[in-house]
Amino acid sequence: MLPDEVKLVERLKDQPFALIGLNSDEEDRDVLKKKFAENKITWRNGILGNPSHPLPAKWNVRGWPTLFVLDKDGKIQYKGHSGEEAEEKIFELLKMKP
Amino acid sequence: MTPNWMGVLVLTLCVALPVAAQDSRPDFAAEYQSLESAFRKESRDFQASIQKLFKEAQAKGAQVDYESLPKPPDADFVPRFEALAERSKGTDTELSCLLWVFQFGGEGVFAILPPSGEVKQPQKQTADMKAAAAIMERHASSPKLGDFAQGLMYRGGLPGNGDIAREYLAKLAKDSPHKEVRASAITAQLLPAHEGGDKAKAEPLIALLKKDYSETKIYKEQVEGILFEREFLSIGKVAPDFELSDIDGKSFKLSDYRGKVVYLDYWGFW
Repeated sequence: MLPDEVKLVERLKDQPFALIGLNSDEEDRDVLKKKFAENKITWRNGILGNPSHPLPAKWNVRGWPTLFVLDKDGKIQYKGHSGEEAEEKIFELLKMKP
Repeated sequence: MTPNWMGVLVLTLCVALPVAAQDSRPDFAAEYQSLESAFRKESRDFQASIQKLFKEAQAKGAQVDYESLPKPPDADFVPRFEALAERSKGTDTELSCLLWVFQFGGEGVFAILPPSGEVKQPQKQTADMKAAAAIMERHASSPKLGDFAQGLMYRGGLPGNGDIAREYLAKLAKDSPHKEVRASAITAQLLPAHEGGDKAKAEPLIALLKKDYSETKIYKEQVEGILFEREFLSIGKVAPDFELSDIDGKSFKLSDYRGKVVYLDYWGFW
């Protein structure tokens, strides 16, 4: 999952595209920051602090990872758990070949 | 001398007898506690040994041989909890044992739905469903069946036991004297209908939950999320905005990213 995202972000760096992680780990930010660097996570992450943060509950996230793809107007075009399907949708929205 | 000795003897009997009588009655709850903590310890040891194997393999750049992995302790403990359930029949401890067997005595989703994609029908009644039958027979009116209903939901989607699991859920939803248990059972009926897009089945369950169960725990934990998803998170809807802080403590909003294709990933290392 992570390596695919690293590749995707690298490939789409000049496109109107943003990957936003919503991270539920409970570690302190310093520890997390180190882990992010180790895993080449350069994209923005909202830090939830724990899996029972109200946001995922509100969004009815009941499995991890849960993925959403939004178009340029913020409309939901994909929701699910498959990185492959999400990437397909992203390329379709960017009118690119996968 | 003699009267004194008699006195000591009587005194000893008075003190010792009630203690002895109490000791001869087995303390099922304590037996359950120690069995449960033994299981927890073995589970922790098991997980640690698996993690070690994976780390070693990773360090060598080798693949882990799944066939040679140690087995989890669950299966060894099933007959032990079943035996305690049998001896403590009719008590709260029996229910605790049965709930344990229900949780850990199944074949597991990977045994039934293996990665090969070939679905295996369970050959015989598995220990978890045997425990479920005993729970429904003797403890169906217990207030402790909220999580049990959630477990039945997951089995309702598996081949073999699905029909029985759904039948138990329907019974709990209708007949449990406890509101939280009924709410949990109704929610467990709603979730698969909701996920499968079965509106005809989902609508009346949602109406029932909204009408009578909106103050229950499960409603706040699960049903509100489902309602929010139905209202705001379906394909084509504008995703609701949120504001969070990032790893550097800087706050940002989802709506800051209008004009871009956004890939949102709810995730964690764990």
